[in-house]
Amino acid sequence: MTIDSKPLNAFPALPEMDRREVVRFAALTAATGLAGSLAASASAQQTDAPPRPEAPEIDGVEWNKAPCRFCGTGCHVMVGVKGNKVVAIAGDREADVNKGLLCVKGYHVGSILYGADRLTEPMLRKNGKLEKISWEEAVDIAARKVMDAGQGFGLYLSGQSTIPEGYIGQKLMKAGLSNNHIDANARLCMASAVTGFISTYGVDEPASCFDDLENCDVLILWGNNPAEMHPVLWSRVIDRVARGEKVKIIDIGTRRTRTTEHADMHLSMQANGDLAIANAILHILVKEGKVNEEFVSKHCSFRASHNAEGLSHPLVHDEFTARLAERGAGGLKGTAIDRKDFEELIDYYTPERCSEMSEVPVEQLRELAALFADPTLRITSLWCMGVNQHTAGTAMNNMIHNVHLISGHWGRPGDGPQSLTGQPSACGTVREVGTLAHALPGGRLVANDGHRADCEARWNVPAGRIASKPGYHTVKMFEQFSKPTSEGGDISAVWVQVTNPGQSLPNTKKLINGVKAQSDKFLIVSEVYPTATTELADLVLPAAMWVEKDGVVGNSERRTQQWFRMVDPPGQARDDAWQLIAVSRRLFELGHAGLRDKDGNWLFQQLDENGQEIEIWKWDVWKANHFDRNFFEEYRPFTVLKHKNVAPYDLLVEKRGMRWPVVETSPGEYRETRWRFVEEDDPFVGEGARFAFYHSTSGDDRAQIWFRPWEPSQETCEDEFPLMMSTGRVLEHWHTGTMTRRVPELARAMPGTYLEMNRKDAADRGISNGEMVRVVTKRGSMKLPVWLGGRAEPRRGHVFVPFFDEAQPINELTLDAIDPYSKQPDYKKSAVRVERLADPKGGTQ
Amino acid sequence: MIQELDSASSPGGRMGGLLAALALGLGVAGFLIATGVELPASRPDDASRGAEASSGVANGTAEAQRYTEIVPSSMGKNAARAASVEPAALGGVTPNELMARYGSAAPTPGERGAALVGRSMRRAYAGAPPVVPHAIDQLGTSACVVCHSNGMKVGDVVAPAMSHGLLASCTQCHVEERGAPPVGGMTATQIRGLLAESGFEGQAEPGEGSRAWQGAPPTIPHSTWMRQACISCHGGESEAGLSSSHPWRASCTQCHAPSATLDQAPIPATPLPAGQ
Repeated sequence: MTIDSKPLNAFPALPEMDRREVVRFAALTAATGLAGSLAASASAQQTDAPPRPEAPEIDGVEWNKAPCRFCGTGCHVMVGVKGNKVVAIAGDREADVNKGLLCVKGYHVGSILYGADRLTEPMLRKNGKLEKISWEEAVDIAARKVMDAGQGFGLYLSGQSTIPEGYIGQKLMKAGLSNNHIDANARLCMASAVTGFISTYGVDEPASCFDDLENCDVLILWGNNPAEMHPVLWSRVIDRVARGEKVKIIDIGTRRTRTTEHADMHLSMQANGDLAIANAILHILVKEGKVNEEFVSKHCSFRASHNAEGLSHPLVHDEFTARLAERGAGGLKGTAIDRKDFEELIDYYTPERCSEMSEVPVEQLRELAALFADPTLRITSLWCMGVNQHTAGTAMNNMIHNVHLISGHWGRPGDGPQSLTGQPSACGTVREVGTLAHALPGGRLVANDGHRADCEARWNVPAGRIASKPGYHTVKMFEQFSKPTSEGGDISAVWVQVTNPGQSLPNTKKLINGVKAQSDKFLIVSEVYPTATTELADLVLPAAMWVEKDGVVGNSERRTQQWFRMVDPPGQARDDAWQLIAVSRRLFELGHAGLRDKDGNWLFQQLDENGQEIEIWKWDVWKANHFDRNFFEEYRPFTVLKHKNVAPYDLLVEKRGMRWPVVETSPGEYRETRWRFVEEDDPFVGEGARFAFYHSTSGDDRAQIWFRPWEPSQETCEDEFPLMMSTGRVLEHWHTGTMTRRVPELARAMPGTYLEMNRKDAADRGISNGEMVRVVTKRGSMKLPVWLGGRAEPRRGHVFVPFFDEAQPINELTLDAIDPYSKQPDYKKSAVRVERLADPKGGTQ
Repeated sequence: MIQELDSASSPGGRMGGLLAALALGLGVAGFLIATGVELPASRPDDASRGAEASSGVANGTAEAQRYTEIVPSSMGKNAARAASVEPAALGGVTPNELMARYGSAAPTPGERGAALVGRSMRRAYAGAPPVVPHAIDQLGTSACVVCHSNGMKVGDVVAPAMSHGLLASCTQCHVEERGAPPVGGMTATQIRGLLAESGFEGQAEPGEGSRAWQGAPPTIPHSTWMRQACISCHGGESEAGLSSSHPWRASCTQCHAPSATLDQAPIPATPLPAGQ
């Protein structure tokens, strides 16, 4: 191999070790890291704290660190293992993120391995039934299907794929198969955050970090319910309040939730009211002379875009968008506009008008703007699905950055926008490795000639190997997969890993359910439990999960985290990374030219210290070693281009994660970065610059303040469908519930989904608590029990349904409209009606 | 508890008065919700909240303390336990009277076994946060704190004191043992039928602490992380099988040694708040 950073040989310290020794080794290295992290935190914390042993020593129980399997917070847990089984979990007190605490899912994360129906053998659908086959056969079938499908093959990965898994999948598709139809479920959860960061700062991912939660005076939650979705981050704030510190918490949304209970102010808004609220803040700041002139004049430019799909408010900004269109200013990067233009446009958004659009009282809009007008306050904004799952998701992400930039509430500890993610490696894998239809590793793009050439050189493949046209994004991929071949459905085979699109895609009846009836479509699913997706699958590959395999992931604050395998996977279940490798090897054996590099070697060839090839496609060899380090270190040089320098693997073994950019300050000494683009903390900001957005779209180190008009939601409430339905998560269950519904403590607490309704809306219809009703959208109907006055209450005219329940998959009813830039669907605004059943007691069918 | 509520001048009475006020507040809110009276869309800000409290005094009702203000007095290791042995806090009951009330006998092995089984049924493994064996207020924290800040016992029902310092989001870790949302007329058996079986076997509860000799105080056999308040399980109001034979002794670690190997923090680094 001739690439400039050779992959390292098989983990040199470990080849002969058995599992037990590996755990010991990891504990030892983790302990070495302890001294450093204690020293680092000594000034901030009690200096006289005694050094702590790593974890409780209970007879026969060995402990090791791992990041939690669930959300994007990235808590570290201590995993207690006894007799090759996980038997206990403890919060990791050395972890900055969670400081020894977990949420109820985290405390029970060990149970997810032990559902009685774990998939333990490869299975092929024969005559409609899944039947057991051997791994050899399974790998061969998968490889032949991939080969036969050619450009009709799609690989659908996940924000739960580890960084090495994503990297292998990415390389297989783009360098091996010259096929860009690779996307990930993170498209459904944070794509609009990505397009928001790119269009505002010129480069993806949050500049701030969770430390802001300890430093903010004001916390603004934009359509966000962290009390249930990011409970540990939430506690970091409200425990401050409980200790008597003053933090003003402002909750903006369409429901009163557990989060609202702790809020000082609740802005109850109409769907898409968020765009109006943020525009009102901009309007008030501009009109009242509260723009932070120093920050804006030195560090910001103004920008707007003509949207070719015509989503801009048709009555008001027509003339302006037509002018932009003449300048050819469509697309994600738009065009520069003058501040005067910006001020003229924003003039329209008077508090009174925005109040009408959002149904938030003018006084509340003014109160919110007044906080931004006060330069002494430190304001942190949090947002997640409420803003991202939005047909104006990119625009709304820009708007949150806007209100912080224009007021100069940016770049001090506690003062800035922090986007949250819902999966453990949506950032680390999907965004950084770039397992998306348009992306290459490290922030590169398939459409960029230089980026392709760079990747081809690093991967040692011939020039021109990587295709320049972006592949299908998630919704398009599944639309083309579901559509019969005769009608132009040109995706014929899809391989799904670590996610459950059969339940999590919007409008599942249209986008995936139809696949099962089509004999010329082939669905491969790597899974740990039977799911809505394995129900549709032709080939099921049993997967190892979490601490049954090695992993590296990246959380929402740029923190890269690592763990080692601690227990064996059950039966024949095997690592997802190995599955990709084994199929890649089989493709090579079958003569697929793309699996050869320029020198004729297999694309994933690994050599040992003596230059001999390691047969990593053989499970015994894979299992006896730790190849994560090889693939991570092969990937690491890609991260330098966009200054996302991830930490070396060996350092991650010692630490509870490190936040990139991680730079070497002296030989062997590394430091992480908490606040990006800020001179005091970011090593890439020049001296004296104070702030520098060094990947700026305008090329002058400035961030972009966007004009983004209000627009109505895609579906609006009309006579036939008078209510607006939002979907989402609950505390106890994670996403489609495949893991958490198999944890008794969680499943008993929240056994099934329900329809949450405003009590007055229920009273108007004569609906009582617990009554079964039928909820109807244009796409179908479903029977659900109504929960009134329960965990949350939507505002009038709105209903809410959690999507975790496989038995009642609400995504059969959701809208599949997408944001024009990010292609992320809007799961939050489907027009519905709620009907009483003839028999109000209902049934369970 | 009743006696505590009466002695308004004592520290415990101050707490009790507050709890009563909280309970009253919850009751009022519950009444408003139940009767469909529109609650204000937003909570008043700090300034207006203060004004409301003052006007309450003017109206002759008890001044509502802010939730945040009670925290310093209940934080720290066994702070509530320490407060409760003040005779004044217990309405003038002396330690001797306490001994007569609670008895001094150690629990029998049978009682101890029963208590451990009860513990295990509410926890996935030793050290897991217990599930909540009763219906809960889905939204608030204060409803938990009313009973679980100091702990209480009504008849045989024990509401244990929190074993850790006050953390503001109770439901972050503690969820209901039985499903909260309505499940469309399903029976318990039907609900169970929805749930997949689990093969998870959690680490068992530890045995008794070791003793250097017969009659020596046992060491603490479990980690004290998140279990700083011994009173939670071992106080006089706790389940018989685990309760101390001498609940009036306030300084547990004076005699019972925590284990450096069991614990991530052998000795709490934070000194107790002044005045306790």
